[in-house]
Amino acid sequence: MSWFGVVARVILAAVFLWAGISKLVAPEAFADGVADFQVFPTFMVNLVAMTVPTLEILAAGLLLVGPWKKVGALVALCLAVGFTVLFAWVVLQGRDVQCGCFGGGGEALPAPLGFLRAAVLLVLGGAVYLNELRRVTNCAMPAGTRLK
Amino acid sequence: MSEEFQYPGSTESGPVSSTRGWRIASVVARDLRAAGGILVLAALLGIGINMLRPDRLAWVRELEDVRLARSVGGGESLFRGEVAVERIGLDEALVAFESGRACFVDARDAEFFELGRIPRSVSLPRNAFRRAYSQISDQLDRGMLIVVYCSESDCQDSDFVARVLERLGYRDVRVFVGGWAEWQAAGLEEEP
Repeated sequence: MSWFGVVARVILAAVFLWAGISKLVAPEAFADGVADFQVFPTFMVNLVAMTVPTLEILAAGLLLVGPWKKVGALVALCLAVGFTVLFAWVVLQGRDVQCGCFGGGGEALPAPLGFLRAAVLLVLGGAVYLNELRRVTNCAMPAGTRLK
Repeated sequence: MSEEFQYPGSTESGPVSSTRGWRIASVVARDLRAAGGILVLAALLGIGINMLRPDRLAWVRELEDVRLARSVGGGESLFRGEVAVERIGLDEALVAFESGRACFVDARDAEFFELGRIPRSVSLPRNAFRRAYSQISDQLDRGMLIVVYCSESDCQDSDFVARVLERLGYRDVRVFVGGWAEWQAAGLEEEP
């Protein structure tokens, strides 16, 4: 497996682990951040704020565990897709958000910067998942099989 | 000529490229199912962790007012106006403004603050108080005169924000009753 695959997977895991723990430490700030996107109905905001940190930590853990790293990459990819869509929505509205993505406090994050950050995660997640997928599907081919 | 290939246990047959496509699709579908399971597990874990922590989130998000009142320990007295706040008119507000020693606090929504405000005032909207306060608290001194205003004499936001500031330990907080409407009507200096 290429060095790129390993390095990208470890970076992705580290980012999600850091983000998940930061959110878990400051749940109220993250719930404020979720509400700040003005996308989720009120009754869902806290449920999302409870779920996302543990999902990020689980994704990070799975990315580092051999048999499950492909699923971990897919979870990370799905999260990154969600973040990218949310930030794209905010960019279109011309607002900034204090998303609490990496813990509470601080200035509001300029939406284009948030979008860019989410897009980088999206590319990284996509690359890691495709890499794992290609590895698995290629391995399943009998040696010498010629693809069209 | 394409080589026929069948995966062990598979009932599909056909050109390798088409079989590989199905193989990839089935792997992705299986991964998606597993990811769904991880999502459910994460939700259950998240709810469990939340229930164990002292600063747990409510099941349904409460209004900013309620969370704010709880965080400053004011309870319902903040809403009922049991805490008296000194109220001032335009003349006293103007004296405070011209002295340069008072800090004017705008309790209206941030959008209105951006449209027009009393010069050198800071935004502390009632509906986003905690977040705004975390950003501007270093500009406020607990001993200084703080004049809070909102849109007009009928609005309640300035009273609420003033009571919260008093709960936070600010000793000289006053409400400019006429607010932005009276300031504008008097033709006084504005920002931006």
